[in-house]
Amino acid sequence: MDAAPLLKVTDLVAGYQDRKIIDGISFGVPRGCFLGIIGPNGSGKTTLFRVITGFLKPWEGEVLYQGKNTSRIPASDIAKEIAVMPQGLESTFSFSVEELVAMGRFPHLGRLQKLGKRDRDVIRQVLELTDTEDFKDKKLFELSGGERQRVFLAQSLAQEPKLLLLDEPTAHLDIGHQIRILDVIKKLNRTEGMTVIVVLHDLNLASLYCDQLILLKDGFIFKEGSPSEVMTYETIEAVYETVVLVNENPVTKRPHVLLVSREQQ
Amino acid sequence: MTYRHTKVFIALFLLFIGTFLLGLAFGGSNLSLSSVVTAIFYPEKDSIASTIVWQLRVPRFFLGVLVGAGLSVAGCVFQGLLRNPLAEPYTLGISGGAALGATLAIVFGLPGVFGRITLPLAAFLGAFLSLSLTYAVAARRRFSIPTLILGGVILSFLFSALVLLILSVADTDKVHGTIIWLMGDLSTTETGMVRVAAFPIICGLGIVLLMSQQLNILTLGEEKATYLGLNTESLRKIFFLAASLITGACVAVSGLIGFVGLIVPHFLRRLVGPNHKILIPASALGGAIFLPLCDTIARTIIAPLELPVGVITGIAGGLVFISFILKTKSWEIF
Repeated sequence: MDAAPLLKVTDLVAGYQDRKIIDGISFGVPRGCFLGIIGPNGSGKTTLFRVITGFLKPWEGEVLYQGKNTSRIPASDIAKEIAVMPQGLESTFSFSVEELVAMGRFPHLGRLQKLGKRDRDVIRQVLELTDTEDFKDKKLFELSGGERQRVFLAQSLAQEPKLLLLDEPTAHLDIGHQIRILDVIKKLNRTEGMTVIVVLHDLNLASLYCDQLILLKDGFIFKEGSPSEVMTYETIEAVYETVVLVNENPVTKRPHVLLVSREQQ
Repeated sequence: MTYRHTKVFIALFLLFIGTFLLGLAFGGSNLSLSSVVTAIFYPEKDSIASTIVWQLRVPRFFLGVLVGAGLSVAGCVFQGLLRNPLAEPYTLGISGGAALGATLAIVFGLPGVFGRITLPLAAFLGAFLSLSLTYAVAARRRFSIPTLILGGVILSFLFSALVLLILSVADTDKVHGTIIWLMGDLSTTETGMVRVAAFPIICGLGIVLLMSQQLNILTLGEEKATYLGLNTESLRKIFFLAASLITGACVAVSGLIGFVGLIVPHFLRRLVGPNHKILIPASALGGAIFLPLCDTIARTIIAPLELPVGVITGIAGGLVFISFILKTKSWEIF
């Protein structure tokens, strides 16, 4: 890992209209890091995510990518380095899986927008990697939720990003699909050194995959560090206002959160 | 371009040739196919037939080709841009503005003073006025899709109300003239008009063809399109202006021909899929078949009288389209 962080945010303040959502957030993301952003509903995860991606302008503070303020880099240049998978992706028209994935090559294409041999190779590789090549000619609406999510992941990976940002990529997926999606991302993080920032709802998934965690509460960073530093029962109980037990996963040695219902407390 | 696409394009091309021959053969007086072919290749042999073919039917056929292709492509672009399969070239008020321009010109008897160019010019100026207003309204809200739709639709109502206001106080014969124009027809023009209309239509078509992949990406939604490096606001402006330019030119020379811009892109989306790289040229070809075909029907069905072609596109297009929807599984429509 490089000493200089790939991405750095300083003193971010942001919100919608006159409602302030995040208030004074600063952190750095080293190259090759797998960073998770966790926190309760309404704690500002998606807002922070949108500020980092540049979709939402911060009221104060700045986002630096390789030392440059991202608001001064043209969107077309950013798209060559950073891929983003937001929540709730859909397609109004019934494009085929392959057409959708090919759109991910757009930032790298020249004026005539013709797919070259290398583009086709990348598309084939990401289809293989996400296990979607079997239905590359199908339409999106013919696929299950988990398959669709893998298609959109393939689309983002086709950008060959150095930094991948994902907002709840495993929402509404069964445990098998959750693991499949995150395994693909983890593999690229390990083998290609792709830096990952992922917003996750599921604390145990975050613990399992992330090197570093940022825990948000009411728009500021409540705690940051490795999963075992952040995921203690005191911290989780304070932030989520519910009783939990934290064990160690016997296989992965990572912290594992167990829930307790109100009745049994 | 897959094997399926190639087959569709070949079929469309053959249909186009067939429509061309039909369009030259039928009309006020019917010619046999052999005399049409003779008139095309040996015009000096039969001077009456060659005059009918070259002076009347060929210019009219190509006006139909231009307007049909133009409206279909504009509809296709508006559907993609607004991410709404119900959109069509007249959704954003261009028709309303053109109608106002044409109505004013007819009611004040301007064509009698300034000649044949008056009506197309007035309609085009009206279209230009309405697209400028829609643009100005939408530009104040980052050209967002809801603002664009709301602004366009409301301006469209406003213009229609003004047209009704003028008609309610105008002379009966002028009201009739206006209504005929509003229904749309391809009969009023000469060769020069085809050339004038061709320029903006072909320019607009070229622009949207070159940027078809951007249009594909825009349909994924503003957020994802931004992440893929697009400047969504300026792209929406470009597509809006290009499609409006095409529509304005079509409306100026042919009045408000309905249905073409709605159903042709739908029909072809079912055949070739939603990828605009393929869909735009396919729609252009589809419109270039559909409108001249309807026009041939419109001038033969009660010959020697003619029906406005807008009536035929509405009836024929509507019936074909409903049967097509009934046969298609609901989730396959878009």
